[in-house]
Amino acid sequence: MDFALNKDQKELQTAFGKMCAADIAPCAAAADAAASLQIDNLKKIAQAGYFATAVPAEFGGKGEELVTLFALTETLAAACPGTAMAASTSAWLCNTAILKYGSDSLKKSLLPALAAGEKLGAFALAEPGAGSDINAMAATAVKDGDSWKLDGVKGLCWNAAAADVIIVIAKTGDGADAQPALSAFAVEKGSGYSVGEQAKTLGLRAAPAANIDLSGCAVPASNLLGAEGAGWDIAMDLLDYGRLQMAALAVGVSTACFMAAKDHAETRMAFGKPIGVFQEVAFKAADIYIAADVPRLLANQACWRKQQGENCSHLIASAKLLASQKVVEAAHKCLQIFGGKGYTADAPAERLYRDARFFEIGNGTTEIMRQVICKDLLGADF
Amino acid sequence: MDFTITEEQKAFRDAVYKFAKNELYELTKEAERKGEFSFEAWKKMGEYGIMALPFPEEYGGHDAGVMTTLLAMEALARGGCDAGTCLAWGAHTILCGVPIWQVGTEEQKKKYLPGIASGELIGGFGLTEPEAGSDAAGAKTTAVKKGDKYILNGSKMFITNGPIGHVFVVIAVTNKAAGHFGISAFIVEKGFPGFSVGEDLDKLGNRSSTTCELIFEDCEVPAENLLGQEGFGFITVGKTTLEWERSCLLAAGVGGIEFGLDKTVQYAKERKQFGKPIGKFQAVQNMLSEMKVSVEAAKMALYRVGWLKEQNLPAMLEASIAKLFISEVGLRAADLAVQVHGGYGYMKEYDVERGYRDAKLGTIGAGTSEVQRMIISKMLLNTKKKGGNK
Repeated sequence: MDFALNKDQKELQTAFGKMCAADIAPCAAAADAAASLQIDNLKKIAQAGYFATAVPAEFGGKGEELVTLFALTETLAAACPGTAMAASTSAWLCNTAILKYGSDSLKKSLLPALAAGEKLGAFALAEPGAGSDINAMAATAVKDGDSWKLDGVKGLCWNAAAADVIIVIAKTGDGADAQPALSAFAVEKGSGYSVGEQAKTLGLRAAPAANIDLSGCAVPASNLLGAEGAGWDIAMDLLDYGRLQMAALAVGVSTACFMAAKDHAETRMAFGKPIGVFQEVAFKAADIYIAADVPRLLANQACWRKQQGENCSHLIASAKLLASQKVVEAAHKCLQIFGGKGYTADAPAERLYRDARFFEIGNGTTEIMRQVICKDLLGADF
Repeated sequence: MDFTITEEQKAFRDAVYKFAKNELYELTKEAERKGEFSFEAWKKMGEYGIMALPFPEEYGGHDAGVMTTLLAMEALARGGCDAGTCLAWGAHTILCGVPIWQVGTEEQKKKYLPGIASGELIGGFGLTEPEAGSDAAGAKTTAVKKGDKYILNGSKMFITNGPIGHVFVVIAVTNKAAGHFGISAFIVEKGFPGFSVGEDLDKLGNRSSTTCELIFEDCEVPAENLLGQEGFGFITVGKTTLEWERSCLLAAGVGGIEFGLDKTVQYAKERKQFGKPIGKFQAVQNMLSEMKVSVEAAKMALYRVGWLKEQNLPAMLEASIAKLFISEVGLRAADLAVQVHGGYGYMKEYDVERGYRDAKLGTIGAGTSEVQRMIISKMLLNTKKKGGNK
């Protein structure tokens, strides 16, 4: 058993952390206020090699393990959760989809640019009328000669406007048990879809999300990911990654909450003392620290097992559930430590409080995580 | 990173689980019902080698290492060895045996460890006093050197294995003025003149373990029974036992949550209401999944301490986090287990009833949750630097 990152991984994280602290964190408040994607920040993140982390060397990546991508993602989220949301969606979902399910030619044409951060990726599964109930989706793809014609609307797609490649899941016919057959596609920019207005979100505002109207969209047959009809399995596999991504972001935001709370507790004076000497404050700070620390352990294990190819969706769901519940508690306690100032945009606590809330929802709600866990615990009949 | 355990550890863990299920479950359940210690279960554990796990082979031990010991204790509790018996094991092996092994002289080790490793000599640990719990520096029990003896006066409170123990590691003040460096540890035998025990204390949970006060009235302890250097009792004994305690003893806590979850899952599958197993209702699944997430996270917090200790790395922060996290989710999980069982969970016939009573000790014993948060926040916050309001 070994709970630590190896020497190379630690060095990567340290170097990346320095860049994040120097270049990304100072922009976090402004990025939130602007509610727009920070292209300059994404470039810096790309230069630091973030998008290349888990991509194999033959496609221009670093060939690192998922635990490394997890470490870098939480580091980035501790600096700016919104920017981390945008970048990690590309790295965890789009890169993985193409790497695991794309044809050789698709991998060669897209992965080097995605790894370099020259192209940005997105993932479009949910629809306005179908979230976790994937089989209820309405979007379709119909084969037309050498291409697929897509139709329908995908909802709340992160990076929708900026993305160069969007992984889209759509219905391609009827499957077994009266369920639709789903298929996955790599939809490239300029293939005829249109992006709706940017959604107004509670938090993570540096990561714009929007609906995508697929009508008029056509992609080459070679952009089908995996086999026709394999979309459900692909979506489930990608959701494992997407849930680890949520866990990484949640752990990172908990860390940001701890750093902010620690700083305030050590320097804010009340009744003649730094407030950190009072147990009501100090004990909250301890809880905030644990909100990052323990979920990180569980999520690291889940990443490691996913990397080994184990069927560990329930463990991933456990890590996602715990990390996302804990970050909401952490952000609540952090804001409380800041008192009145915490309620204003002058302190990071207010933004973190809003950012934290998404992780209990994204890539499967807490309620869905419980179902995944119980299917494993009680058996498929339950 | 690597989250595998060795095949050998896996095999041993599975064997201990079966041993507990087949040999200890009924015995300790019955003992708990009666509020008595099960000497029969203890004898079986001794013969199986459970008490010998951490000690070197030359003293009758198994040299199992922290991780293997921890996995074995988790399996023992998951197999159904009740919390009180696991607690007795902890007071004996970890709190009495480990300091003698780590700090003791060759003579002390030869004299006491083989008996502790076999379980024939039952051990305990005396730190807490009626008026000094976590504030160990406020201890009042004194030890004064007279010739070739130390004379102990005072008392120790809530001592597990007190009524049945043969040998105790006892902490006493040898130099009040020296604070933490004026505290020493002694090996005290039951038969030493001036040593006696109080009445058995009746408890909420962990009822198969015995508890009482240790009383020292001009108790004569031979000078050679000083454990470690005079004045270093708190520093050395405290430190060596603490991390072991917050790993191996906690392992039984994690195993206990797993035992409760196993029972609750089984119940949720079998119990039918409104025409279907209650496990099909989302409200029940909500509780089961919370228990399951707690188990998985608790295991990680626990194994990390074992992993650090195995490399002799400091684990003070991690051990406190594990203690706090495991005991708090344990208490919550015990509550949920009863809730899923409904009325039956309130009945003594069902194992989760005792789990509910047993779990409360977790957030109190070996440093309350508040003390753990004190340790953690002191390690994390620096309130000494100059503040200034902006």
